[in-house]
Amino acid sequence: MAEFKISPFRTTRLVQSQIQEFLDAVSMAILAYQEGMIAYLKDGWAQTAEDKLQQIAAFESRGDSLRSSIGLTLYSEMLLPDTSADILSLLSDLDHLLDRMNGHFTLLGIEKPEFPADSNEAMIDFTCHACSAMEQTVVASRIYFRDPKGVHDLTHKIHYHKQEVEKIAIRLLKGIFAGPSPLERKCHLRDHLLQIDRMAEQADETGDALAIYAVKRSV
Amino acid sequence: MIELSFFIFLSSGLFLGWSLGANDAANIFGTAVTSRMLRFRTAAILCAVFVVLGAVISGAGASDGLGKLGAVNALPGSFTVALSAALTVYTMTKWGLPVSTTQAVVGGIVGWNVFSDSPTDLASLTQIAGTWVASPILGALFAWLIYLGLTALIERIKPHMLWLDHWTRVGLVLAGVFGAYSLGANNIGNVMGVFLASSPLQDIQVGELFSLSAPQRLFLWGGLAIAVGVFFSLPVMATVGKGIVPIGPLGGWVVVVSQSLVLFIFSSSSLQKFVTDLGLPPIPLVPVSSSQAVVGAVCGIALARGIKGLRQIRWWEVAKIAVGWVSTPISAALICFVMLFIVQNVFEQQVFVLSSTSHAKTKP
Repeated sequence: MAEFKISPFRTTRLVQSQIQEFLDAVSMAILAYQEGMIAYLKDGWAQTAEDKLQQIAAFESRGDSLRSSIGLTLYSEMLLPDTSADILSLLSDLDHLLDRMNGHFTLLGIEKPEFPADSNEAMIDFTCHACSAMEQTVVASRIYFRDPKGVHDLTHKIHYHKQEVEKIAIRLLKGIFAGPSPLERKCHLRDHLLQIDRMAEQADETGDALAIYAVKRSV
Repeated sequence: MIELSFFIFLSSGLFLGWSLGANDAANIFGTAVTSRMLRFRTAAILCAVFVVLGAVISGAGASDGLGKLGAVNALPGSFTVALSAALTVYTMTKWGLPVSTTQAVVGGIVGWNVFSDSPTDLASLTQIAGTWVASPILGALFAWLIYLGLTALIERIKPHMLWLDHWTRVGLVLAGVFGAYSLGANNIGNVMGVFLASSPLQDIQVGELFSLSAPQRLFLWGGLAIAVGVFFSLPVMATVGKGIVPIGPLGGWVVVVSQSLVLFIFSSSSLQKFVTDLGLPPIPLVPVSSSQAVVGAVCGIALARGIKGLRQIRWWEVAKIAVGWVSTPISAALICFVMLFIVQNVFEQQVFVLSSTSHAKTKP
């Protein structure tokens, strides 16, 4: 008996809602990470930061299970193979962002680095730009599914935030290494700054990849 | 009881049908299969079933149109015309020259007309040659319109990518089914048209269920030959859409629909009646080349994409078609003439029956 590879409506609806939920999870994790970082910079590792860590970990775990479920359905039951590969690659990149946020915030709770008080405002600005770059990537991803041409309108915003992150990172590092702290503390702080910088960089790379996926989707 | 000799003579037509199925099924389900939206086996089964249905139900129109050019009235003659068309297609394909089964068959019939001293209806010939030019142009026009309409619709409603792909998949299956039906209805004339006048088949009644007229029985055989050929079309499918301009699955759907519409227009008696009822000139019902309609449709998509699309067209591939309009029928006519001479004088077969319009050149 010939088997029709036409996915039933139910599968399409299910995958659509799973992708939506995955993007929501990434977006909420970004918000939790941003709030957690600001709380840590202001009050140190307190209950708020601990709560945010739990939230981020929960989003990360949900994101993992959603990504594998979406991947399985996309490959086995529906969608053009080329597009499936692009979507899975996109979801994988976003999942890496989730992993990075979770990993970094967990480390923050363990190591509790002491950022200089005079750089607090710059640190908050730095974190906010990194989070904006990631958030714009999520927005671009949502648009990719409905209007691939619209992705181009957002990639420059991601790039802008990433550049701001780089600029602030250099300024912060110069300030840290010019200060009187011991070298090991300076290196410790540098590691944390670079982790946040890496998130913005990955968001930018994901945005670039998204722009290519969008061009490939042109009719 | 049908004599075995009938099937021996019919074999060249069946071979032509097999080759048509092996080549032209790719135009219909090629995009769906190469983009892995549909499995080859599923595509082949759907294509085979609907080709046979199209041939049996709606095959009469285009076959009659071809018959006006010349009614090959002896079975060995029909065999020779179909064989020479098949040989022309085979040889020109082997040499990498553009070829269409339709044009080869028309050339073969003209060759038979010349050999048997039967007059060639120039009005029919002009009409048929006109459809060769019209079919790629119509294919381009349909594709251009459908593509622009579709892109505007997608821009407007912005469907979710998953749903767009879902409907593309469904659309490719439906368009493929329509395409297979149209191919059967239109191109059965190429395969069995030359046997119509000489076929010994009679009308039959199958129980209380349905009856098959003599031409329908002939078309059933031809349709089955095409259907068998479809199962050999996988290698050709792999090359679809790569010759002229790159197209995606949605573009592939536009091409299949446009090509199917062209084939349908030139084979639907109901549509012809509707057009004449409106007081418009009748659409000629003749077999047309599905491959050339596809090329036209692909160019139509490129045109709709603007300057960028125009630059992507490999114009030499398009120019080859125009070359084929002349080279294919002339080659087929020459081959047919020579083969008729051999079949008549070496194998001593009667390749035509003298009629009031032909003159003696045979040993009836």
